[in-house]
Amino acid sequence: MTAKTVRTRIQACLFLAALPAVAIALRLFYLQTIRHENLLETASKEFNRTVREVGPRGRIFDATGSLLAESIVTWDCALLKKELRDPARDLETLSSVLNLPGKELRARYRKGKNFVPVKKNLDQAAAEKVKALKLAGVRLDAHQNRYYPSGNLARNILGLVGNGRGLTGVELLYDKVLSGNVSSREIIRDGSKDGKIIFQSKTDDGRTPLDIHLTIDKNIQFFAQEVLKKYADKNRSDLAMALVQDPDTGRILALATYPEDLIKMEPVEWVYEPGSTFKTVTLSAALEKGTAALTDSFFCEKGAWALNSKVTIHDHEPEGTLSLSGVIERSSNICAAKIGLKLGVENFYFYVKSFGFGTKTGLGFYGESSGILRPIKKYRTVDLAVGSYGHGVAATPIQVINAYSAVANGGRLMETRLVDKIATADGKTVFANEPSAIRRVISKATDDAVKEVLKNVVEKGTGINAAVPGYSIAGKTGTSKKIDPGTGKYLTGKNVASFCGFFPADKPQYTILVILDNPKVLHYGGETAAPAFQEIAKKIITMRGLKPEKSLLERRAEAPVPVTD
Amino acid sequence: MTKPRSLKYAALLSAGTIFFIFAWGNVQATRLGYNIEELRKEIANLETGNNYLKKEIQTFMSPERLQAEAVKIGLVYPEPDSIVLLEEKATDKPAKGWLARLF
Repeated sequence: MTAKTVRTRIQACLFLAALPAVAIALRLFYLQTIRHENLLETASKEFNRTVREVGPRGRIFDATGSLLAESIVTWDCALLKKELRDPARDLETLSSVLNLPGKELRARYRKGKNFVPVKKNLDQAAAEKVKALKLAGVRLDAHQNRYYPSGNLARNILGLVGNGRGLTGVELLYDKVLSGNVSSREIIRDGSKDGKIIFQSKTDDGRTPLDIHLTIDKNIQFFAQEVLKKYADKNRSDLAMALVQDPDTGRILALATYPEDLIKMEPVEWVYEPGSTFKTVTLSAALEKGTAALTDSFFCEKGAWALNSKVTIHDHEPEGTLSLSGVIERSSNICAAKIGLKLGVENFYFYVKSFGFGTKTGLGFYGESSGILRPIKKYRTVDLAVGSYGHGVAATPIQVINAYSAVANGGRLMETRLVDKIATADGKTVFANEPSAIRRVISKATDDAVKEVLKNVVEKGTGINAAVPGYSIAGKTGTSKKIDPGTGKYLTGKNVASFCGFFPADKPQYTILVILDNPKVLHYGGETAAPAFQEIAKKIITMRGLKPEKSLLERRAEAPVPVTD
Repeated sequence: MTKPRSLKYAALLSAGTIFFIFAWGNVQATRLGYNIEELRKEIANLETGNNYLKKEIQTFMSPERLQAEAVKIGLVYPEPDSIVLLEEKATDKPAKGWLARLF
């Protein structure tokens, strides 16, 4: 055999050996280039997946840094009927692990086509138990859920969340700030039996949710809710509200409603005729304009005064002649009307507006009302007369407490604050909501005079049930008739009882407004709302350790007076 | 004749090495992908566990819960006049003991 023959044979062998390799190469070329796009798509559908993940929403804290709302991962458990190996046994195991009635689960299983929801919002412990069972066809889907560690505390303020979006309350108002980060994660499942995940990449929207720090004080809110429930139940009222504010800063410390409404923000939406609590506005305006002085006396017409042929104004208790302070102490509608008429429409209207009535507070809640204050052009004498004691005008509770805080702080109307600051998760402040005065409404001298009168109301007037021994409390009772929203006429036997005041009167730190809508046992603000005010005030005094005034501790209780307002 | 052959071997070896590095890189990427996913799960689990523990603390600290526990052991919320507030007395004298001075 010549060398040439050997070489030829080797070449032939090499050629034969290379043939399959060439065939494979050609096939690979065909698959990798010509069919590339189609095959990639098919493979991607099989193994690749983009998982959209919504991160936790921002947290909500109270003024002391206590957590009010946070997101936490919970799991929804479901069954895929077609994948269950032993349905009867699996159902029994699941029902015992998740504490579900077996009968109910079996019924649900029979009804479902393939996907059967078992239980929603499982906590981590329950989810771990289900995972440990390693049952084929049992799914656990994790998602962010909102939870409230303090239960019902301030829930009416916080509102609701659904599908990761704020639906009501602060959750809705600050939804953009609180919304969780949305990220997409590329994953590949391998070909193993349980399809293990291989991480590929992650992209997110680059946004980080921020935390909201409210001005609400957890403990004061709790006291307000607790006391409100007690008095609302005791008087069988349809609705009750208690608001607490820091008069110097306009910061809301508590906003309690009962029954709790998670949809409506009642303190800014609900409007009512403030009744005699509005006499403080009339008094302030009259003293500021000089149309009335503390030395003036007013004749109260023995309980009934015919303003004109159609309108007669009545007092709860017939009175003779009263000093200006006495008018407010005894809450005489007749004398308040006389003060208002002397003040004049323009002055009255100016101060009503200056105290913030007829204007939204700027808190921004969607349903916020500006109250009802008819245009000045439509103000007749009768409107002025009844408006002087808080009828014919409607206000929201937040407007009333703002006005009283203005009186408490020396005469400045402050911007209402519910959010103290917005901060990052590690506590870095992004936005600080500093207190801000809107305007000075009355002078310091007038304010001191008004405070003295309001102190007298609690010491010896209709607000005596709000008094706390040893502490100077200033405030005013109010009882107004309810209006039928359909006819616009007053409803007989239905009223709104309220008390608004502040303490310590000489250096006020807290303004409190209590409202009971349609109380059915006792009816007047002095009988229903004033004791509730007293109870809230007492709890705040104890918690804050406010010192009593020795001179007030020694003071003897006044003789009982009627609290019929 | 020797030089071109050694060049061929060198080229073959280089190609083999490149292929090996490429294959090794891919295997490592897949392995790391598994690891990242495992660690991601572990982090998420630990974070969730941590959040659940915090939740429990916050729940125990809620005023409603505290009041319920206080009532159970017979405590009542005090009235303002049942509290004795001690007056703070300013003292110029430095603390005597070494431990008091230290703090």
